[in-house]
Amino acid sequence: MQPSKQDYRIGPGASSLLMIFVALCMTTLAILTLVSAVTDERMTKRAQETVYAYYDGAAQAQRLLADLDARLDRARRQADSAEVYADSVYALSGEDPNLAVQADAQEGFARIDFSAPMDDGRYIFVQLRVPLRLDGARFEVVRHAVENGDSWTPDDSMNLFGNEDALLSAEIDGFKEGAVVGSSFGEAP
Amino acid sequence: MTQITAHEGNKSNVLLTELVIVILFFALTAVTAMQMFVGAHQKSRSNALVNRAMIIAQDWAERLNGQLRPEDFLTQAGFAQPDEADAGYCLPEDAEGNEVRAVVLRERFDAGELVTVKISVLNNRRQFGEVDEAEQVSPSAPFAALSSASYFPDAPPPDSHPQPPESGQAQSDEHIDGSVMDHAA
Repeated sequence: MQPSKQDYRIGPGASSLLMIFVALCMTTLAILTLVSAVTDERMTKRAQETVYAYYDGAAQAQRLLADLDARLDRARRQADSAEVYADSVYALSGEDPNLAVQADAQEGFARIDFSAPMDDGRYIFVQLRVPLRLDGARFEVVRHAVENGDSWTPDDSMNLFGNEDALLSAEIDGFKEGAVVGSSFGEAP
Repeated sequence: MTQITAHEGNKSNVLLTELVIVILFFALTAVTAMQMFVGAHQKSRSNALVNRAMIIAQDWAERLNGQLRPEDFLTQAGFAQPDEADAGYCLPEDAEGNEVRAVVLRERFDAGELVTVKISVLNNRRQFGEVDEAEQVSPSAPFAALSSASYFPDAPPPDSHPQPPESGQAQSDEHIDGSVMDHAA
């Protein structure tokens, strides 16, 4: 007796299985691609808003500087002596709560600080050094930096880098002391 | 014999019906996936345009920061002078289709002058639907718009007993440039 031949044919459900597999792959790929593009768009918008906020804050800081310079010029014109002018300069903080006036470390100069808001608790901090005399330049910009007004609390619930607790604790203590995040230029010589 | 033929015929009909349904669902899935791919491509293209425009705008904003005469700088940089007083300087589009426009505004204060340069970057080669239409007011809306402001105080009046100049004090015939960039230099 010869063994009967068996016919091997593709079953009726094979095409359905193949279709389901291909559809799942295509859908997964399309969803991942769209999610990636949407995430990139969100990042782009966030970066754009940050840049806009910086330049708007810088422009506002320049406008505040113009107003302050007008008051310094007015005080200088009205003062008879350097002492009277110095009193007028120190009285500026009472006129404008956004201004912080204090004596500079160098004798004969005052330091004026003010800030312009940006976004998310950040602001542009401007520090001026004002010579307390009736001639020469009225001010000198010694600091123009972006600073973060919100305190940053690190999440130390997970030890991510092995047994480096001591080093991590030291870095956390350094940040908790209020390190300034930003760059400054135009430092006083 | 007739029963076997009818049975095989029924099986063929079922297989054919199944194939038709499979092809139908495959087509629906393919159409949906293609729409998602096209949308992702448009968003990616839009993001690239916006990023490029932001870089160009920031570049010109930093170049113009601290310029007492930005009009002269723009002219030397290749910007076309405006025909009208309120029109902005225009830099012809580059190889990527980005066009830069700059409007110079001067505001006089009691003791100085505030010079503001408004920079906008447009792209005339973007295709329809590349940018979210809900956010763009018109097809000519810029991808990036920045304002660079610098304050220039007036020189103080000459004093009969001038003090010797200190280190770092700026000297100028017309303006004492109190901008940060000059002090940084």
